[in-house]
Amino acid sequence: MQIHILNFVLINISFGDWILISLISFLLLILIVLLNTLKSLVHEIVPPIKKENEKTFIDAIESSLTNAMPIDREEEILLDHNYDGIKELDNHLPPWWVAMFYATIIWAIGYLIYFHFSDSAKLSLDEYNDEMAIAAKEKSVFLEKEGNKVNEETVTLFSDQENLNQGKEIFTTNCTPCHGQSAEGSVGPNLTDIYWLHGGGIKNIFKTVKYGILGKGMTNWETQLTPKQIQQVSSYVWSLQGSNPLNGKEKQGEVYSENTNEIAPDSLKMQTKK
Amino acid sequence: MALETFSYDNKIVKNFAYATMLWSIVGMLVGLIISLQLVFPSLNLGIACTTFGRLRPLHTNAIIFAFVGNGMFMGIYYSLQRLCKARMFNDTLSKIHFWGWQFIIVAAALTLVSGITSGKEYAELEWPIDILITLIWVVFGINLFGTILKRRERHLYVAIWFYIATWVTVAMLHIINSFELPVTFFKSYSWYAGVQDALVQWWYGHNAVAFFLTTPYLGIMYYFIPKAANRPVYSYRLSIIHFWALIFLYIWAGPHHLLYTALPDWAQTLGMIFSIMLIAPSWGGMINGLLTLRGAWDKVRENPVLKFMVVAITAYGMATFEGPMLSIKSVNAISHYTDWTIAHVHVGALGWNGFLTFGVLYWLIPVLFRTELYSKKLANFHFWIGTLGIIFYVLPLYWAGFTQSLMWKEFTAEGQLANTFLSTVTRIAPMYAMRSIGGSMYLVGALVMLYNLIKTIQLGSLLENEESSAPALVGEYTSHSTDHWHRWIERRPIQLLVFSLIMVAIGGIIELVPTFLVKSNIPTIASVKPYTPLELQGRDIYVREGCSNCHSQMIRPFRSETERYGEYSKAGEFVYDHPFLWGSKRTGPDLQREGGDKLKKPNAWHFNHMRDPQSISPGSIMPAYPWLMDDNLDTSNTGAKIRAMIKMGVPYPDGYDKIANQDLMHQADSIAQDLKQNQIKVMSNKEIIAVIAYLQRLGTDIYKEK
Ligand code: HEC
Repeated sequence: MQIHILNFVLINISFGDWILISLISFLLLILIVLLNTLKSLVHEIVPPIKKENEKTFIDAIESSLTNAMPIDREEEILLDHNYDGIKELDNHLPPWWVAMFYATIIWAIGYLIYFHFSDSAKLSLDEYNDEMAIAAKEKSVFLEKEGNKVNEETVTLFSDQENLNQGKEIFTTNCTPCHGQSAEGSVGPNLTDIYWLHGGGIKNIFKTVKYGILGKGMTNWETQLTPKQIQQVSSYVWSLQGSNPLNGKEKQGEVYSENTNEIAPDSLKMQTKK
Repeated sequence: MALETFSYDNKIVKNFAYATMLWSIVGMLVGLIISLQLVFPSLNLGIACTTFGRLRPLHTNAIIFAFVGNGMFMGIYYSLQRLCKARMFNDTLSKIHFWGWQFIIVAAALTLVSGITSGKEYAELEWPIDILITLIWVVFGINLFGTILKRRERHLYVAIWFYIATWVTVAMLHIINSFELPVTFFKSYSWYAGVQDALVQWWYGHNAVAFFLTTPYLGIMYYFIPKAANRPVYSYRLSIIHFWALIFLYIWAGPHHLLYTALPDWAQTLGMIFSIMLIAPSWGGMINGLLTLRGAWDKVRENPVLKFMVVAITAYGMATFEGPMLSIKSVNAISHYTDWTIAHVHVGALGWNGFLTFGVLYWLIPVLFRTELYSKKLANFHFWIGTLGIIFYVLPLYWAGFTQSLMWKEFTAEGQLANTFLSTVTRIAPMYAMRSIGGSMYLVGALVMLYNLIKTIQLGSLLENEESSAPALVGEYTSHSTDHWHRWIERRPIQLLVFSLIMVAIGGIIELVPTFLVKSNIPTIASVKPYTPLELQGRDIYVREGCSNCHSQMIRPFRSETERYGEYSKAGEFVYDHPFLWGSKRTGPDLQREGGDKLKKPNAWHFNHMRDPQSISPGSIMPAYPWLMDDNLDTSNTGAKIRAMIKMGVPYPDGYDKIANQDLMHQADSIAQDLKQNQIKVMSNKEIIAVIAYLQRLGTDIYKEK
C-alpha cells in the first residue's frame, strides 16, 4: 500500500507542488502574524529600548507586506466616517493581496483559454481514455511476466492444500453472503450437490465465477479477483462436491458429469494422478 | 439642527439571541447523535424517524437556518438600528419575522424526521414551508429596508452593504431553486431534472454558504469587531473592493460541487476558475478583520470576546483558502465524496460561524442586560475546549477522507481494485469515533456558555427600549470634492440593492441559461425510458428515507470508479430524474448502476440487506430498514404522481395515470414471486418491493442500447 500511495502522489506531482507551495506561503503568513503577536507580548514584559522611528526587521517585513500606516501615525488616514462610534482608516491595499488577486485572475483566464479555446488540452473524458489505456497495458505486461494468465480454456484444478486453503479464504470473504457458510446455498444455489445450473468441473466453474451470470445476480468476479484467485476458489468449490452440509438448498439445474468415464466427484483424484 | 429622540428595540434582539442559543444546542446535539450512528448504527434504535438519512438533513438545517439564521438576525437587528440611528421599521413586522422563523424551524424539524423532504441537499423542506420561508423573508426585507429608508445616518456602513446583498441574493436563490410541482400537500417534485436540477441545486447550495453563512456574518464582523476592540476598521478601500468582488465572483462557483460529473465541461471550468479567483476577495475580509485588531493585541489576550473572534476570522481564512484548493479538479478528484469535505465545512461552521456567534453573544448579552459577564473564567474555558474540539473534530476527518480516497483508488499489480468498499468503511470507523469526541468537546463548550449567559442574564435586567437621539436627515447631501467616489452609492440604498442584484445575477444567468436552452449540453440517449410506476414509488421512498445522504448516484470517469461501479454516468441518463439524486458523499457505495452489470444482485440479496445490512455485509454502518417490510405501499397517489411527471414533460402515454397502478401491481407481483422462490415470503404490496424494483432499475437503461 505504501508504494501505491507514493506512486499516487508522484503521478500528481504537478498539482501536489502547487498545493504545497500555497500551503507554505499560507503558513508563512500565519507565522508572521504570530511573530508579531509574540513581539508585542515580549514588549509588554520588557519595554522596548529603541529610538523613535527605528524599525525592526519584522516591522519592515510587516509593513512591506501590508503597506500599512504605522499605528502612531494613524490619524493621517483616519476618515471622517463615524457609525455608532465606529471609525474607518483608509490603509493601502496590502501589495501581496493585490498581487495574489491579479495572479488568480490571470491564471483563470489562461486556464479558460487553454482548456476551451485551444485544441491542445485534454478534458475529462480524454483523461479517462488515457488512464484506461495505460492501465490495460500495465496489466497485460504484468500478467505476462507473472505467468498469471490462466483462462477458462487453460485452467486446471488445484488439489494441493495450500491453494485450496487460499480458495477457502476467498470463498469465505466473498461468496458466503449468497451461497452460505458451507456452500449449502441460500440466495445462490447449493454448490455441494451434483446439480449444476451452469455446468460443474473446474472449467465451467472458473467461467461462471469469472464472467458471472449477469441478470441473475452472480457477480463477474474478474474485476475483483485475479485469474489465479479465481482458479483457487473454483478448485475449492469443486472440492466441496458431496460434502453434504446441513440445510442444503434443494437441487437446481442438471446433474453434471464430465465427458469422461469418471463421475464428477472423482475428478479430484484424476487431478492428483497427473 | 434639532435632535430627534427615539428608542432602539432591544427586546427583539434578545429574542433572537435566545433562539440562537437554543437552536445551537439542538443542532449540535443532533449532529453528535448522527456522528455516533456512523460508529454504532444501532443507535437509531430501529426507529424510522431517527435514522441517519432523516436526521442528517435535520442537523444541517438546524445549524444553517436555525442556529446561524437566528444568529444573523440577532446581529442584524442589533447593529442595523445603531448604524441607521433608527428603531426597526415596524415592531409588528419584527415580531412576525421572529415568530414566523421559529415556526418554520419547528415545522422543518417535524417534517424532516417524518421523511417529508424534497431530497435536495440544504433545500429539503417541502413546498408549503418553502412558501412560508419566502413570505417571512419578504417581511424581513420590508423591515430591513424600512429601517434603512428612515435612517438618520446619511451613509450606509459596510456592514449594511453586506446585509443588503444577503437579503436580495438569498431571495433570488431560494425562489429559483424551489420551483417544484406539488403532488400532495406534503410531496412535490423538483421542476428541473437531472443535470439541470443538479446545476440549479449547487448554484443554490454553494451560494447558501456564500450568502447565508458568509456575507451576513462578514457584516456582523464589521460591526462587532471594531466595537469590541474599540479600534477603527483597517481599510475602507479594502472593504469596497472586497465587497463587490466577493458578491460578483461567489455566485459563479457553484459547479465546483459537480467536477467530473455529467455536467458539461465548460460549466465545470467556470466553477473551478471562479473559485480560485475568490481567494483574494475572501481574504480581503479576513485581513480587514484581523488588522482591525492591530494595536489591540493586548486586549485580545485579555478579552474572551476578541479571542473567539480572532479564531473565527482565522478559521474563515483557512476555509476560504481550502475551498478554492478543493475546487481544483485534480484535488477534487481525491477529495470529493469523502469526509474531507465534511471536515472542510466544519472548519467554516464550527470555526467561523460558531465562534463568531459565541463572540457576539458574550459581548451582546452583558450589553443588553447592562451588567458584566458572569464568569470570564468559564468563557475562557469555553474558548479552549471549543478550539480543541474543532481540532479534534477536523483532523481525524481529514485523515479519514484521505485514507478512504486512497483505498478507493488503489489497484493491485494485477490491475484489480485492492479494497472492497466495505473494507474502506471499517478502516475509517475509529476516525469517526475520534470525530465524535471532538464534537462532544465543542458541545460541552456551548453548554458552558449557555450556563454562563443564563447566569449573566439573571444578574442584570434588560433595557427593552434604549433611548437615543440624533438629528434627522434633512435636505440633499452636498458632496465634497474630497469624497471617495463610492460614497455616492452609500447614500442610495435602492441603487445599492439593484447593483448587488445585477452583480449576482450575471454569473447565475451565464451558467444556468445555456444549460437549459442549448441541447448539446445534455445529449439524450434513446434507450433511456421513464421509470415504471413501481420504480417511481420506490424512488420516492429512497428520497423519503434520505438514502442519498450516504449514497451517491454519479460515477465519475475514473478507472477506479468504472472498475468498481461500471460505465461512468452520462448526462442523458438523468433526464427523467425529478429531483436528481447524485448525492455529495459516499458513506456507502455509489448506486447509480446498482442494477447494472457489475453490481446486479438478486432481489433476495436486496431484501436481506435492507432488513439487516450487517447480516450480509459484516461491519456495515448502513441502518436497517425493517419497516419497509411491514408497511404497505401507498398506491393511492400513483396517478397524481404520473400526472405530475407528464406535466413536467416525462413521456408517459396519454391517460397512463389511470392504468399505472395495474402495471405497478403486475411488476410487484413478479418481484414477490421471485422472492418466494428464494424462501422469502413477503406480500407484493409492501414498500420494500418498490425499493427493490427501483434499485434493480438503476443505471440499466444504457445497456439496452447495444
Ligand atoms: C448511514 C449511511 C447509509 C444510509 C443512510 C444508507 N446506506 Fe446503503 N450502504 C451504506 C454502506 C456503508 C454500504 C456498504 C456496506 C453494505 O453493503 O452494507 C451500503 C450499501 C448499500 C447497498 C449495496 C451496494 C452494493 O452494490 O454493494 C445498497 C443497495 C444500499 N446500500 C441501499 C440503500 C438504500 C436503498 C438506502 C435508503 C433506504 C440506504 N442504502 C441508506 C450506508 C448507508
